[in-house]
Amino acid sequence: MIPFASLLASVDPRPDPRLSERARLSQIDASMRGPAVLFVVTALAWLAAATVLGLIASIKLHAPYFLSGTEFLTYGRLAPACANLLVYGWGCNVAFAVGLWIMARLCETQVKHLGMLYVAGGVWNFGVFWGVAAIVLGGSTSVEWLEMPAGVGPVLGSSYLLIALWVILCFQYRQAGPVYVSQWYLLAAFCWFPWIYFVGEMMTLWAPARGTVQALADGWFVQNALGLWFTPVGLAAIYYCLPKVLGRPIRHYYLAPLGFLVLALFSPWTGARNLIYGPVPVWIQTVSIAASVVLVVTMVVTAINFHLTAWAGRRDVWESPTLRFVVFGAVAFTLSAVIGVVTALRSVNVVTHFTQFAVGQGVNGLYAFFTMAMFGVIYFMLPRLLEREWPSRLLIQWHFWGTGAGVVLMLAALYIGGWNQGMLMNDATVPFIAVVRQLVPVNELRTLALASMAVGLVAFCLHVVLMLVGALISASRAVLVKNGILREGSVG
Amino acid sequence: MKNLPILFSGIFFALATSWCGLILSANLQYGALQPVAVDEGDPLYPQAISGLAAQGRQVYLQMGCINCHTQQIRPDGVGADIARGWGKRGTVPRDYILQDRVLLGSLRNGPDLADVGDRNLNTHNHFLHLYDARLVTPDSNMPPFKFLFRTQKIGDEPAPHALKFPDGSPDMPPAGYEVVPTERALALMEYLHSLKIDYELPEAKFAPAATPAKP
Amino acid sequence: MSDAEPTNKLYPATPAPAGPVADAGRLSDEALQAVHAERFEEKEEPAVGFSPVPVFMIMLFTALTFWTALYIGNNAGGFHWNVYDPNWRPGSEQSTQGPPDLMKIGARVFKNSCQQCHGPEGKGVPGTYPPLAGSTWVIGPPDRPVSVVLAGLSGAGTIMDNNYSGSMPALGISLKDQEIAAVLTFVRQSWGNTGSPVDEADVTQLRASLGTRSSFTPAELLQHYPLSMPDPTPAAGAPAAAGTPAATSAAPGTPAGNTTSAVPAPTTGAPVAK
Repeated sequence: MIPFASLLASVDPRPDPRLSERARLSQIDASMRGPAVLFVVTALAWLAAATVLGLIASIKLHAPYFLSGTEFLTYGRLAPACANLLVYGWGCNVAFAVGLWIMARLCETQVKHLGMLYVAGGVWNFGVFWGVAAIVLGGSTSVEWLEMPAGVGPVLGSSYLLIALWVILCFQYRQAGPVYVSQWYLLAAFCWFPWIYFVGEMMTLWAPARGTVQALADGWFVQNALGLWFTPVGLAAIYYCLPKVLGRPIRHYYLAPLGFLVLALFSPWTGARNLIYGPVPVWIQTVSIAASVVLVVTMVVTAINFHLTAWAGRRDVWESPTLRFVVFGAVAFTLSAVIGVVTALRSVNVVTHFTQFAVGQGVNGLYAFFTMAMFGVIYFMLPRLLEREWPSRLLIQWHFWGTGAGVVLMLAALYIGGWNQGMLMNDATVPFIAVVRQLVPVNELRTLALASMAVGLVAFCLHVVLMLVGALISASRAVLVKNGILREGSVG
Repeated sequence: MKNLPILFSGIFFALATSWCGLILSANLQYGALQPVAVDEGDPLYPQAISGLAAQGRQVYLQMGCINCHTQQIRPDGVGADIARGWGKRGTVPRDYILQDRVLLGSLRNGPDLADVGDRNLNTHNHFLHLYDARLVTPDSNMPPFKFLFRTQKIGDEPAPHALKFPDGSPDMPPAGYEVVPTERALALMEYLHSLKIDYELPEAKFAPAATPAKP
Repeated sequence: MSDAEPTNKLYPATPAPAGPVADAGRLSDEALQAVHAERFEEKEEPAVGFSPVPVFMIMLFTALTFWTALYIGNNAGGFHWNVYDPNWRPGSEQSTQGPPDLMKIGARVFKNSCQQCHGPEGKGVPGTYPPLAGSTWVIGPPDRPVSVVLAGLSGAGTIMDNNYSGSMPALGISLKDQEIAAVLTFVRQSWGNTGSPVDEADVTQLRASLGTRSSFTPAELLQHYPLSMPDPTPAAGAPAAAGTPAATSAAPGTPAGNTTSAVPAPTTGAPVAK
């Protein structure tokens, strides 16, 4: 009984109520420091790898002889490798960091037993490495976003559960008081992803469904990974950072739970929206189309919440690195939601299906919205965790303009080029090779955009390294001062 | 709403209903489809592919062909899939029931392949296209797959699928040598030849004035 | 409920720090969550114009519900597993299951059941198997060839200037009425033959009236259906029946007026010179 009670006490994440609010907050931040920094650093490393692979793949689309001598760098392996690095390497790792931190703060709970998180993070990153290496070596399963071999699934799944457990514990032990919409979004996201991943892996790899039910299951997984995992985490981050930095609450906040509800209830039904006119019965396609259109409610709600709030404080938005990225993400979310609704309609889908337009939608959701929002949160989070400011305003500018201009160029090229491609492909008098020729400038612009994004990323990674090094130096100096080796205030 | 159990069940419910409504019901409705004959006495379709073609499918997976090619034909009147000669009818779920890994694809950097075996493509040109697509179609951006071929000394007579390069091509092997497809390339070609939607099903008849397969 | 700019006493804003390199959290987490409390925990006093959800959202919801219901109703193909066309309407199944294509079925039946004797082009084998291509025996009244298929044909006789003495089995046992109608439609309209299609109903009727009789002989067959007998329902564009008015009204069994060299054989079936 006593050991059990002490186990419970050791798990209990509530901070010591005797401490003041500022001290409690810093205790929470201190508790998250290790894991969050670890997840952010590994996430950025994966993002860098994804950018390199993505750049090579993009070059191959308009210069097919580039690095073409070996089967390990053939386009068909680089493209899924890049996608998996983006989703599981960068996306999930940064979602872990941001999600845990925001949840811990809002619930006013610490994260304890950090060893568990380090182990989970290590196992997760091992799984990602194994999976992507397998893809490059030829073991891709050719199931979209589940190209990693089946064996990686349990590895990722079990480490995920350890991390998600903490999110749930934080929520369970939260301090009395109202629950903010970010907490709902994060709790829901961390609960949904393991189920989605489990179903996706089971129905396509472990016990594959028969016929196109497999494709349906994969489509359900991809749409939900976007709509019920990355979207809620991104929205939670924006709902948290925007009012905090601006100093004013979200406008028309009472709509926010409505947006959450509609997203939760209707987004999972959009699974077949990439199978329109495909080999599935028409009722499944129609249901997914209808559900996609209903999501306009979430788009309207978040647009009202975010844009009205941001517009009211637009000068502050421009001056704050956090908000530049966060608001960029918010605008991208609205854009991708509108396009998502429109391209679900059959008459539009006939043109955009199978084209670079769909790739643009993926870039919009995963990069322009989620990644940019996460960049913003990192700008807000790291100073609090490391107790220092960002050292260089110049690197922030390079980061913002590099990634911002790059992703805007990429979206413009993919959307416009993709639409064109679709119109030409639907005209049988245009030979297919003419469609391919028309895409050459689109692919070249995509490479240029990726190069710009890479420059921005390099600036950011450099900046994070500077932050960490600085934090290490001052931390070690504090230790040396404490131990009497260095005098307080000495320059050494 | 602050109660964790209630929130948790709500979160679960939202996902479970969609899984039941979309995936489970689809599986129940048509997951047990079997090959079928249109008229009495006709062969059953779809048909399983040969062993070599199944190995070829593994090569298709390994090379990630799905990232540029689809294997689904949209119905007549939708887009221009049938008008382009990519098939005689739209594909339906029953066409895929015998495939372990359904390779529908989602992007068309290259043409659709669901019916490629029915297009009477010249096998040698097809191998040459696999070797380096630009030798057959100058502006193609398909990656070259030269690593699926090997150069070997010509035996008593040239190998059946030895590639014939245009004069002065830098890929021409030295005298006395020939470039032949490896086992993987042969299997892949067998797989591509097995991709045919040249049969009708009770629920899917050929489009009225389907373009004959392009040579 | 108006959403005016927050006043300072509810959400005290601290001044922005100098330099943008570390964003201050101007709103404390508690204040953030207080927004939720203020909106949801406290009860508003009912008043004129009070609306927890703005009117346009209600209208948006209504419009969406209406549209979604209509869209699913109209485009879900009746939730059938085998409907792939969003424009499907109930009752339109005839288009995919139209009247059976008799020529197609007939070609298949011919290939399986007739071709091995009568040849793929219906030319037959002179002296062994009568031809069907260009044969006057298969055109004209449908009942003639239907009787042959149903009950068989045996015994000696001259068919199309050749003498035959073999026998054709009664295929009525193994072929269904639709198949007989189909194969004879096929035979009567292939290789230059211009006969009318054969109705499945006629086959059924004839099968019933024939009962379980033994096979016809050529003479007996011509007794019932002389070659001059016209087709009661000639195919469009078919030449006018070659029979004389007398032959037309001739009751079956009257050998007079035959235009071929068929010799009416006595029913004992004694062979005539080959």
